Amino acid sequence: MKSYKIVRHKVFRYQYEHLAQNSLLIRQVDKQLEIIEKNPETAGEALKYLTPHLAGKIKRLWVGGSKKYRMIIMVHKEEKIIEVCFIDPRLRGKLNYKTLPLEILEMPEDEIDAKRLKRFILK
Amino acid sequence: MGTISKDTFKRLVLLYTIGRFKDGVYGLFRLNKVVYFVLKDTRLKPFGFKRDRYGQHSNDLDTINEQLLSMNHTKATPFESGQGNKYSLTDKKNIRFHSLAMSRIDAKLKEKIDEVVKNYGYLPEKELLQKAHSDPEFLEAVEKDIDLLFDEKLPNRIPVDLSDDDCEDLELSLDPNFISAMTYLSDWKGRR
Repeated sequence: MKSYKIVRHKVFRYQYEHLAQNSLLIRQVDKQLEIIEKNPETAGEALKYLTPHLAGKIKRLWVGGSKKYRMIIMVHKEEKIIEVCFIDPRLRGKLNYKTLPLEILEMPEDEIDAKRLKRFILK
Repeated sequence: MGTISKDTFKRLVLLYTIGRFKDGVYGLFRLNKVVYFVLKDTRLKPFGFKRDRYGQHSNDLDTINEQLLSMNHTKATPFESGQGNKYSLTDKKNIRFHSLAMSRIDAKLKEKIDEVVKNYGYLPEKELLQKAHSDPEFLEAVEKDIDLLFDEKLPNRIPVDLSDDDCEDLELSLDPNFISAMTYLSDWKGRR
């Protein structure tokens, strides 16, 4: 049976590179990545109330202590790929996607600009 | 208790209203009129309404309707005449949760939507138009030559008697930017 491949979106890679070394946050992110590697099919909690074209495909894991930031992963079941998309830089309960340039997730990775990426840095 | 943003609440109200039409909403004109009759006496007003050449009309409602379509929560099926669309839910599974969320936010508003859709939703267009044009507030606005019928009245965050996680899921599932980005990412093959 083919096992799942874990890939990282450019936004997540950028966020990861900018995490402070040895911080609690990076340790928690590593731990969640480990969980995804070990249990790709069961890792994370599927987002609810989505329409059929996305239902079951988007999952979230929490990082940053006491459910601080949500880490969004995408399951490509047919291709057996888990894509780590991004960590939402806003704290739990402070959702306001108007101020987050999510459109960069729709751009080819080589066209994503640093200015918008900076908005995803976790503080 | 959690909270949702006012934009999420607007999308929820419109989605719930569309879902209450058993055979879909026959046209934007009808949707505008029905929502006007719902909101004219309610405490929370997710949409403001003005008087224009279509009678009671909300630009904001039209915009939110387009967002629901873009997120694939609703679909637009053209009329046989080719003029106008019928709006309906793409998936009826979520209506139970949307109904629950509505009742946990403002049970009276939910009941009002149910009542108005039942009484006005499928009236013949002529009769609906007649009711809309004989509405006392509308007539008063005509007489005084006032364009604004009522303004939007919503706090920035709306408390909901649901868990924080449910509120966040509701917020994300009704966020056009998030849904657009995730829809793009979900097409792995198309991106290669």
